[in-house]
Amino acid sequence: MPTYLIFLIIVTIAGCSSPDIKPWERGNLAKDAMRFGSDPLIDATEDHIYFSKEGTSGGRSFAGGGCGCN
Amino acid sequence: MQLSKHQKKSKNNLALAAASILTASSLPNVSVADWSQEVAILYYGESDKRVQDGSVKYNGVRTIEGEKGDNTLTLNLGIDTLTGASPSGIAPSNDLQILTSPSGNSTITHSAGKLPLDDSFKDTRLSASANWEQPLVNEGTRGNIGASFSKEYDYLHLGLSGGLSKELANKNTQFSVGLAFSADTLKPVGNAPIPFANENATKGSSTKSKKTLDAMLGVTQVLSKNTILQLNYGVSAVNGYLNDPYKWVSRVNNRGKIIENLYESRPDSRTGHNLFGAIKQTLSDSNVLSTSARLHTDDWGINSYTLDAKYRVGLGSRKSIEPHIRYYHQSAADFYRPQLEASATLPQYASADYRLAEFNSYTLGATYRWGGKNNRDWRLTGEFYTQKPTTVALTKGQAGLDANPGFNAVMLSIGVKF
Repeated sequence: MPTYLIFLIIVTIAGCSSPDIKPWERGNLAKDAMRFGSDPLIDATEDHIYFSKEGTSGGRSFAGGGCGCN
Repeated sequence: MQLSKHQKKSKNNLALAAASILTASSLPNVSVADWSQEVAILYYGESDKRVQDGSVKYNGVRTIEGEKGDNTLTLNLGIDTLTGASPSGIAPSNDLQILTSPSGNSTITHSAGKLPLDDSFKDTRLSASANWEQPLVNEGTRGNIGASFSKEYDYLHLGLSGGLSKELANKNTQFSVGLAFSADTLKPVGNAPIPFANENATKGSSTKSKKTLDAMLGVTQVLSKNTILQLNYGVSAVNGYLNDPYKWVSRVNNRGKIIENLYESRPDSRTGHNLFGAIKQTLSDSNVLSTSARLHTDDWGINSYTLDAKYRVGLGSRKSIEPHIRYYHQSAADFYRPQLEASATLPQYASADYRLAEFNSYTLGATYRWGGKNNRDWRLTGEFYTQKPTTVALTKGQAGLDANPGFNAVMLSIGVKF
C-alpha cells in the first residue's frame, strides 16, 4: 500500500518532465470515463456511506463533516 | 451524457456561427449556457435489521461560456430517510438489560446474549450545496467558491469552501489548492449527556457544536495519451463536541456482569492527514481502468489504508459494465474500548463505537450503463459491503458473545444523466 503511493509520487515527478501531450492526441483523455469525478453521485454516495460507517474519510475531496450519522 | 452535452454545445455553436455569419461580426460578450444533470435513487440496507436508508440525489452542472473561458455552477441536492437500529456500544451480556431510550420517554430491552442495538433512530436528512467556478486571469487559472448545508432532526451543518487551480505545460499539469470550513450544531434528543455519566444522571446542555477546517493540495498530471494521474494531500482539523450522544460504554465485572452503562467520552479535537492517489488508464478504445489508494493517519491513533479499483468495459452501442472492488483497513482509536473493567479506574476517554475499532472492510459491486432515448444515459449500481472487525476478548462470563460482530450491507442505485 505505501509502495503504491510512493510509486504514484515517483510517477508524478517523472510525469512532470514527460513529453507534452498535444491537444490532437487527447482523444482518449477527453472521454467522460477518463475524467476524475465523472460520476459525482456515485462518488458522493460512496463517500457518505463510508463516512458514516468507517473511522476515516476524505481523500479525493475534503474529509469534512456534515452529518451526525449512526 | 457527454454525447448529449456535446450535441447541445454543437447546436449552440452552430447557431452562434450562423448568427455570426449573418451579422458579419465576431462573438464578443456572447454567453452560452448548458446544463448537465443527474438524478439517482438509492437504497442502502444493513443486515440484522440495522440501518436502512432510502435517498434521492440530484447533481446539476451549468456551464456558461464567458470571455476568459467556461464558468460552471454546480448544484447538489439530496434527501435521505433513515430507519433501523445501530449498535449502542453497550456490551453484550448473558443477562437481560433494560435501558431508558435517549428521549427518556421509553425503555429499550436488550435480550440476553444479543448485541444491544438502539432501534429508536428515525431521521430525515436534507442536504444542499452550490459551487461556482470561473477563470480568473485566464482560462487556465481558475477560482471556485462553494457553500453547503444539511439538516437532520438533531443536527445542522453549514459550510463554506474556496479554491484555486492552475494549468501548466499545455494543460498536462494542473495544481490545485482548497480550503473548507464548516460549523455544525447538535441538538441531541433529551439533551447532550455528560461524558461518563450513567443513565440516571442529569444531562448537560441542549446544544453542542463543532467546527471543521479542511485544507487540500492537489496535482493532476497527464502521463501519456492514455493515462492521467491525481495526487492529493489533505489535512482536517475538528474541534468541539465530538462525542456521539447516543453511544455508551459498559463497565463489566470479571464474571461478565454489566455493573453500569456510561455515556462515552471522546477528546474534543481531532487532526487527520490523508494522502490520496488515483490513476485512470484507457486500456483499449472503450475500456478504462481506474485505481486509487489512500493513506490516513490522525491523532486519535487511527491509521487506515484504502485500495480501490474499477474497470469499465465497453459493450458497444452506449453500453458498458464496470466491476468495482474496494479494500479498507483501519487500526483502532487509542481510546476504543469494547467495555471497561468495573474494578479499574476510568480512563480519560473511552468509546465502544464500532467505527473506532480495528477492522477490514470489503466492497464488491458493479455499475451497468446504457444509453436511453433523448440521449439520456442510465446506470444501475449494485454493491455488497462487509465489515470484519478484529475480535477483542471479553470476560469469561461473556463466553460466546461478541461486542463487535461486524455487518453486511447492500447498496442499490439507479441514476440517469440528461
